[in-house]
Formats: sequence, structure tokens, C-alpha cells
Amino acid sequence: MKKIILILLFVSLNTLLAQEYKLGRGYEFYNQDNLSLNIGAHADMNYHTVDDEQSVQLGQAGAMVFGEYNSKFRFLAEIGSDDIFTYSFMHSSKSTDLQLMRLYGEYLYSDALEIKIGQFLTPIGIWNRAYIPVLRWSSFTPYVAQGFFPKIIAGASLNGSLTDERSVSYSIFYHVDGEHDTNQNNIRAKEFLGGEVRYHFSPLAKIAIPFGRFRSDSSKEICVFYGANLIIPFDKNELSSEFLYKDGEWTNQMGITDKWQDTAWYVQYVQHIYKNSYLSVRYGEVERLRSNSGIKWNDVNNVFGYIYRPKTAFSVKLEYRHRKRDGLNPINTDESLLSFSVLF
Amino acid sequence: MKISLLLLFAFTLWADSWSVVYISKNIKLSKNDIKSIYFKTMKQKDGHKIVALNLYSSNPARIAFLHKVLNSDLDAWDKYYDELYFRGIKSPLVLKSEESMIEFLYKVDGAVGYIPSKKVDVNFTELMRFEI
Repeated sequence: MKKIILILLFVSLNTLLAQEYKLGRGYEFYNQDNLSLNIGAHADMNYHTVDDEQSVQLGQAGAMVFGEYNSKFRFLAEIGSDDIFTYSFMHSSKSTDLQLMRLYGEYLYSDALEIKIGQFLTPIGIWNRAYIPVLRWSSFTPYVAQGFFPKIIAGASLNGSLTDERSVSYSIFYHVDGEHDTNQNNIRAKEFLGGEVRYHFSPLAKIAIPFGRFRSDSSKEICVFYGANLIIPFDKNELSSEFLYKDGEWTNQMGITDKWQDTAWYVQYVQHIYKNSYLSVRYGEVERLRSNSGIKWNDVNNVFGYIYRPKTAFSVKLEYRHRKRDGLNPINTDESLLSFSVLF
Repeated sequence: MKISLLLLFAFTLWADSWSVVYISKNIKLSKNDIKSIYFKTMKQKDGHKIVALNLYSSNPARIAFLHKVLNSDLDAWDKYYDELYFRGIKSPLVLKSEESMIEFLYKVDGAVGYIPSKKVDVNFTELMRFEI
């Protein structure tokens, strides 16, 4: 009898809810007995030119299923790829198989302690936590979110919000080993331990300190990194920045050890200009120094963009990037990118 | 001057007053908790679940609530919840009408919503008021 009353209560509650689909919110296909199941997807398509080379790409795309049980358990599974298909006008085209991007479960013990187990995005920084183009003001990923730490981890994390106002939050994680990495990961790492502490000025504005240590699976490097990042939206504009410093120790096959230091940062500003139109400008720099060999290079990135965003879940971006690297393997390139990205 | 004062007086009479309310035997919320609840950094209080409720985005009360209570706007709200949705976290429940909101508030312990102030009865705990 009690069960029938509960079912009737949930059926009546469901009729009160607005079940209409909204772009960027997925679709809830089941909601009964404290269990909700949803599906969603995201996609990005772009036309890219680097100097004289042109390509059309179906880039980052994925489909996900996620759900919640009794407000205590959450899960998410996503299959996708960072580069599904690229058609190059000068070289051969290539396609990538779909991969399991994320698969995890979460137990919400309290607001101060949420336990996550599985394969998920490394909870560090601004870019990496929601790296798909539709959620970012630029489709050019900065080096800070590309080459500093493994962007996906397979292991466990503890997350939570502290203080009565929930103004401080944290994440601590441990990544098991490189064998669990998918091909999508940028760095195959072992024993990756790290975290981030954040101070929230408001729910939308924060400053954070990330840190971590890992062993690179391929080169046996031991890397330690730390830094800072901030995001401050005001009116319809936004200022964001990320900085990371990493030092490592590398031993070659002859047993000779070399040390190196990487520093990378960017500052990005987005200005609302009219209705659904925005302008973005980003300056970024990467510097690498090898202590023993004295090898040094410096990579400077400038990005200028126009963004048309009629809805937050759909955007068209027209961007230009100039990249210049001095020192070892010098680069001097001009790139332009027209991208369409959507969150279903 | 007199006309301006008259218009201001007329506007004050005309403006609808709404209240942010909840009904619960288990939890005690304060005005300072509203932002944390609606941006889902506060999902529980004293071990009990909290459910944030919203009206449709075109509803004037929803727009006023976003601006005056959460100090935000629809664009920033959508951008915030797009990111959470990508992490598998859903935005607050959207209800069809203020009647549905009142019905839900009565049925679910720990649900928080906003209703016309004239409909607040002794069962509700009022956290704050705002005008639309």
C-alpha cells in the first residue's frame, strides 16, 4: 500500500514537471522511484586553415547517458572522440574510432564530501573541467589545458564545498596507472596524485590553486606542477586566466639525468558587443628550459575571435591565431578557424 | 513632482510581491542559503535533501527572481548549467505554474520555491520577498 502511495505521489509530481526538451539540457527519458535517467550529446564541426593548408573536421563529439538515484548516487557514461573525422585538402584524410571518454559513479555523502570513482576529466583548471568548444569562448585550446597534466584520469576523487556560504571548494584525486588510459588521453601517466582548492567570490566567479605530481609512463619522467587560475564574469563580459609551472626529471637510456622546467599561462578577455555577438582576445605563452643541455624554447600564442552565440548551448566562432616559437624547432604560423558547436 | 510621486505610489501598488518559501519539519534555511541552493552548491542541509524549484524562463517572476535574488541573468544562468549538465548535474526542476509550485512545495519536504506573497500561509517559512 505504501509503495502504491509512493508511486501515485511520484506520478502526480511528474505531471507537475515541465517535460519539454531544451537545447543544452539533454532529455530525461525516465523518472520514477527516485531514479532519473537522461541522454545528451555535444558536437563540433570546423573549417581550419594553417598557412596554406586547409581541412574540414568533425572534431570533438560525444553522446552521454547520465542519471541520479535518490539524490545520493550519480553516474555518467560518455562515448566520443576528440577528432572523429578530418578531411584535409592537401594530405590524406583520417578518422578516429569512438572511445569511452568518461565512465564514473559518484556518491554524495554530504555537500562537503562527494566520492567519485571511474574514468573522468581531471578536476583541475577552468578549461579542462568543461573542455568542449561549445562551453568555451575559443575553439583553440591553450597549452595549459593540453600538455601539462593528463586531462583524463582513471581512479578516484574526493570533492566538496566547505563553509556555510559554500565559498570554498576542493578536489583531490588519484589516478591509478597508464594502462587504464584511453587513446584520448594526452599524457599516459602513473601514480598521478593532485588536487585543486578554490575560493568562490560568487557561484560564477572563482580563484583556484591546482597542484599535482605524476610519473610519465612513456619517458619515466617524474613531474610536479602547481599554479593558479581565475574566472571573473561581469555583466556579459568575462575575464579568465590560467597559470601553471611544472618541473620534471628525465633519465635517458644511458642513465643520464636532465631536469627541465615548463611555464605556461594565458589571459583571455571576452567583450559583449551587441545582442548575441562577442569579441574575444587571448594572449598565451609557454616556456621550456632544460637545465643540463641548456635547450630553451618560447612559444607565444595570440588569439582573436568573433563569437555569435544565439543560445549558450550553440555558438559559431570565427577565430584567428598567430603562433610564434623561438629556440628549438622554431614555428611561425597563422591559423584561422570557423567552428560550429552545439550541446544537445 | 506630485505626478512623479503619484506614479511611484501607483507603481508600488501595482507591483507584485513574491516570496521565496519552503515547508520543512527537518531543515532550517536562511536567506543566505538561497544562492547556494539554486546554484546547487548546497544540496543538503542537516543531512536532508533540498530541492530547488523554478518557473519557466519566460515567466516574469522567474526573471525577477534571477535578477533580484540570485543577482544573475538568464544568459549567465544557462552558461553555468550548461557546464554542470556536461558533468551530469541537472538544473533545478521547472514547474508549469505558480499553482504547480505551491502543490509541489506542500508535497515535498525540503523543496524551495517562490510564490506570490499573498498566497503565503502559516505552513510556509518565508525567506525573503522580491518585487516583479
